[in-house]
Amino acid sequence: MVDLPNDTVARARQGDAAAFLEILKAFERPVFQTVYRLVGGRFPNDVEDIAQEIFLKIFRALERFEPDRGVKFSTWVYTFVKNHCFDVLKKKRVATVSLARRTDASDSNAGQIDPAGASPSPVDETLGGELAKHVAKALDDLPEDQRLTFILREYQGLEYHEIAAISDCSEGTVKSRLHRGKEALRHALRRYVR
Amino acid sequence: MTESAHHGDRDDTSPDRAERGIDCATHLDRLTSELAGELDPAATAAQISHRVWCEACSLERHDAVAVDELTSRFAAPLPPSGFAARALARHLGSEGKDANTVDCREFRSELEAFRAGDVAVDRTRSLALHVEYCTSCAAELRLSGTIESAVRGIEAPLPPAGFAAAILRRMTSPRERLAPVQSFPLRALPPAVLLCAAAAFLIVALHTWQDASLDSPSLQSNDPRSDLTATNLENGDAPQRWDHAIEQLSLQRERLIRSARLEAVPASIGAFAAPSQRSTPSSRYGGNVWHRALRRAVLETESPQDSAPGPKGH
Repeated sequence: MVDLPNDTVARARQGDAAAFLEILKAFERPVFQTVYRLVGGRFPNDVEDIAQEIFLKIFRALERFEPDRGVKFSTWVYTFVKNHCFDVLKKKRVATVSLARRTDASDSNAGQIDPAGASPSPVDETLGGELAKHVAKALDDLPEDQRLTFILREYQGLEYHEIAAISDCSEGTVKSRLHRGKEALRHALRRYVR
Repeated sequence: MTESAHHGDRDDTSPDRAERGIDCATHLDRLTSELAGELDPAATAAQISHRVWCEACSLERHDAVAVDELTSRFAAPLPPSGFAARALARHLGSEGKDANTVDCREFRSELEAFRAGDVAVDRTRSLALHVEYCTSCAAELRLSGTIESAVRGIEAPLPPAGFAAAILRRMTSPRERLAPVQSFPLRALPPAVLLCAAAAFLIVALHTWQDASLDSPSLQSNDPRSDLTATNLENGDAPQRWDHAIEQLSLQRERLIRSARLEAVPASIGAFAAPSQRSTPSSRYGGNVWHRALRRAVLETESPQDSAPGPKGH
């Protein structure tokens, strides 16, 4: 994960628009993609708004960033991503549960209507580019902590201690969450990846 | 058992024994070496001469040659599954301990940690031994790697065009500039401070509520004035209720006077309790008037420098 020099952050704190732009250019992609992977499965239409809100929060709180304490700016940014996304998921949890139930119900109904054998086999689906859907679904089914840990580690390439700082837990907990998340993904995706 | 008994057809005591050279036992001892080509020519010649005369030893050699041919024709059997793991465990002096303590369930629960190298050295060795001889777990290990590669290969979409510009635009909008930087971090405060703040809030709230209750026209069920409603007045027991309520109010007044250290009660207050006002329907609010007057009197007593007109003027 590429980190920004501290002077960029310092310039942004003084209101330098170019520094803001540098921060945005450096982090817009990882932040947007992390938000997409964290909440995009449930709220695909809200990803852009959520990512914008995160950046606004970051810029408002720049005064509180303390590089002297040894905290990397990227770690600090991901802390905002995690807090905001978890807040969003928490606020919309009731709606999420009801939607999930409806989806399950519609799936079961579809299974009753479709004749046996009419649905494509897992291999066909994989060949048809359906793997991404299954991966997204499997990721979405992970508990939030495991999903965050997996995304930060596997997609963003963060170190264990950085994820621990973001998640406010120990490195051992991070490893445990990561391994349990991978195990769950293995069970969920084994029929699609053979 | 004698040689003659063994072979039967030839008598070792026969005169041709010297021509046979060696006896049957010696021939059998040397037979394996002879077939392997390890005998010197003289001994080999002795073996051959013996068989010319001894049919049993000749058959013995024939069988031995046949067995050798059969053995060489078939490939040697493969080592059994887990042979290397057990050999390694034996070599490390841990046979029957490490290799056998990791079963498939344990291995699969630790598979991801094993792949990531997050397992202790001793445990890693045990898991490696298990996966070496367990083909099912080896397949699971490969599957895990395949899935991880597949998942990593799934790309998330890029931010839309104008994403950064939209953020900068929002930053410069008056609404965003006026927005608070951050809500007060209550969780960062020590619990003792939060407790003190909560206690102070409760005290203030209680005090405010008491003041409000003095001014409020609503009647509480435990308030003696609650008996002075129009419904009760219309009932037959109204006079008794009136008496009881007036008694209670008088007691309350005495208590308040004592607590406020009042020397005298304003005349208008005392007049409220007069029996002449009992039949007035609107007197159910009279208690409230009484309380307001009393409170004003208390305030005047506590701050005599105020020259505002007192309740006596009412």
